[in-house]
Amino acid sequence: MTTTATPAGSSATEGVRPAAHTDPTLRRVRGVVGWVVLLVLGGIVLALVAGSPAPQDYLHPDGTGQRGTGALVEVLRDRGIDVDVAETAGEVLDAGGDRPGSTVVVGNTEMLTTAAARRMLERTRDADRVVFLDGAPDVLGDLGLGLGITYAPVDADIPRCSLPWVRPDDRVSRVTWSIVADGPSLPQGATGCYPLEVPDDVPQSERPPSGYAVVDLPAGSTHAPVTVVGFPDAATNRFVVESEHAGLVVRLLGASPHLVWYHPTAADVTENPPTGEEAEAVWPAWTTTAAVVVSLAFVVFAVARGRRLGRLVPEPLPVVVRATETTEDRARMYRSAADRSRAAAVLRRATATRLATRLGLTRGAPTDDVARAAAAATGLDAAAVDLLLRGAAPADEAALVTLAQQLTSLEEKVSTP
Amino acid sequence: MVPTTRAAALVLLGVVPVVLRPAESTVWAWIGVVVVLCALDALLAASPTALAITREGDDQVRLGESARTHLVVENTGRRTLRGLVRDAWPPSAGSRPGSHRLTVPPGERRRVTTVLSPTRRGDRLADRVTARTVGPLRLLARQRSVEVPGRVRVLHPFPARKHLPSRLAMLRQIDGRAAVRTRGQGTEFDSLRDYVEGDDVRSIDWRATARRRALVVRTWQPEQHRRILVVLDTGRTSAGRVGDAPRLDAAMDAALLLTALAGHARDRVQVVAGDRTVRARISGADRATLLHDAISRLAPVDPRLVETDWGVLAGEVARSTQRSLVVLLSPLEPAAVEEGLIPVLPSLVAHHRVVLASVADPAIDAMSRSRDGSAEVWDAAAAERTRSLRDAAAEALGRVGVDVLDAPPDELPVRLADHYLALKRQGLL
Repeated sequence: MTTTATPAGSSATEGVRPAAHTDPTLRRVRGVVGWVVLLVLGGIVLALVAGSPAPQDYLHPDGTGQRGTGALVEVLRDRGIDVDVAETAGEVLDAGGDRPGSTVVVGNTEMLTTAAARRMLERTRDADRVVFLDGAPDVLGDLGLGLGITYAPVDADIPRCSLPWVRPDDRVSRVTWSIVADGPSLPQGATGCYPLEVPDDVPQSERPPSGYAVVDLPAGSTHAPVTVVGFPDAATNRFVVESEHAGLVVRLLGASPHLVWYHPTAADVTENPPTGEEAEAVWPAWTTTAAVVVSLAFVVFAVARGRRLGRLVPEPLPVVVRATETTEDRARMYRSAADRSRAAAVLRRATATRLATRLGLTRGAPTDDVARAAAAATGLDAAAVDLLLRGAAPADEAALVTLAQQLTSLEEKVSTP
Repeated sequence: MVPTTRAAALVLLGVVPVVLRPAESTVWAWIGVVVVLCALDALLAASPTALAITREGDDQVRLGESARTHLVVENTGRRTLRGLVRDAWPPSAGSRPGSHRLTVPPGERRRVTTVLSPTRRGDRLADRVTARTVGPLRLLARQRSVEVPGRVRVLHPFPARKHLPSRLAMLRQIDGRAAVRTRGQGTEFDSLRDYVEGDDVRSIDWRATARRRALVVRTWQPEQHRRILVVLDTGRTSAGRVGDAPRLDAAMDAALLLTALAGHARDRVQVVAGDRTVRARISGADRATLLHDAISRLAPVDPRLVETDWGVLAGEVARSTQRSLVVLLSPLEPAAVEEGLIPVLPSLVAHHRVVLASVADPAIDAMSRSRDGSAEVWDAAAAERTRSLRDAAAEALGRVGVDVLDAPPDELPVRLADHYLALKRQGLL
């Protein structure tokens, strides 16, 4: 692992080459990279095996929950209609939503910006039909279709209109929006179905303008035929089987052989940011250029301050070792081993040696002689002094502390009689 | 070539035209203005190569005091020099100020002074001198570094020198030059002179008195021209810090006091410092400059983390066969003493008088005395153990025939000097 296999015969002439691959840092980096690659690959495999969970969005074409429209899409696919899902206005075009024989249906419009809707409408001029399935309440008024929208949670009775996909006895029970004219009347050529009747008990002053649950516009110069639907719930998995909903939406969306289901997401908002006349008004026109100047000045400042006035001066420093270090470590060792008998013996011997010197005995005098002499000098009980200097090892730390303090006080008594 | 902060401010001033006419071209135009001004300024700035810098000033300083080193900056160019000059020194040289602002008209010279307040003993070498010149607008600076050699030797502060007068007085007492005269072993005959009242009658030389018909006394002086060899151990055990300084510094203090004292006593002093090799050797041939030599030569000696080779140092002692006083300044570390020192001692003791002076650590005594809580008692036990090991080592040395002095840093010089005086008084040199 640490040797390089050199070709036989060449090693003698080339000598020892620096073994770059044994550099420990490089080896460690390699190890880390290997693990990261393994983790990423494992994650990818897991993601492929597990798949992504079914989306929970309202009117999502793959949604299998109560709010999704998976059932409707399945029915359409069973009938031989090619259904593509697009998440941005660009993808609508990529999926072929701008060609004849295609119907574009806009499902959930929570993430639909006016810019994206306009762009989509303009580009899909050649499509068979554009359907706003949930009425597009946020953007409908800004699209220049001459239509408006109001909230109207009522039932619709009979269509009272003649459109190819509407049958006279199709009833709708889940209307959410009332599509109204953006002027005195609907645009020319527009067809309104399911006129919504306002109940008689609503006071005259609060009566909303009379509208329709469906408005169908013919193709214009800037857009394909547009159908705005005010009963999105009718397409959901939960309510599609109610009343005559199923037939109605299947006929509406299944008119062309190709259906592009446009479900705008956050990516669509990023691609088509809200056109901001207001946004620009917040910042003065010189903001960008001034920011450029300020950052330039900052760079110059950094360069000016970053240049040292001469190089750094190195200095060999002396070693710093405290002379007490070995003693402190010895204390730590005694303590961690809880060696009370040794500590007590050391303290006793030190005291005995000092007392012997103090009392005029030889340095190596026996401890019982020292104890006797100390007792005589201080007037203390000889047995007690002897026990202090020669007794058993202390039983616990508190006893050791007491012993140490008693030894100190004995020395003090001997030296100050 | 480097912009100044003033150039950055000039760039920032570009915000004004940009606000008045917000367009990309305004930014480019402003950059153009700045670049042209900077280029003009750089052209008008004095070249940093047109400088002649020389150094003068102190070359040594005692630790704790300040030295001055001067740079004489001569402008040899034709444009006025404006800018900064930095005299770079290592951090422990404590140089102030960090840089000097100066203006030198063409053909003139200016002197800038850097004050050095070193924080450590040893040699400090000056690093490069850097000059940064700016133009009249101070927008662009040109910079260049040149070597201007300089060295300041930071000497040992020798705090024990305050004890020198009192020890010299004691020396004079022995010497016979003072009123009280002592006589006995360790003194040698000096001269005969007339008796004056107060002289010890025992010192009257009757034979000379008979010849001269007047009372004549003999005067005595202590032994002179004895060889004193001070050996400083610079090995690992001397690196340990006692208080805020390594043991070696305290040992040097003692060595210097002894050197000064013995020099006055007309003894021949030699100082050797070393660990595995000899790091400094002061022969003491010239008594007048002995102390100065010792201080100066010992200044750059630092302790090293190596085991001292006493064989090498004993070889230094054996260079002369004359009986000497050998003072070993080495910490009393039981293991180092037993392994390294004791084996070489018998041959030394046979020919010389050997004294071992060791720097004791007052912190050990403090540790052994403090017994308030359990942690302190463990410390006290460890400190007592250390002390008993040191005592055992000292005893072992004493058995070989070595005098052992073990004292805290501030006491050791005095103890060693007193021991020397005692030996001298007893004629044991």
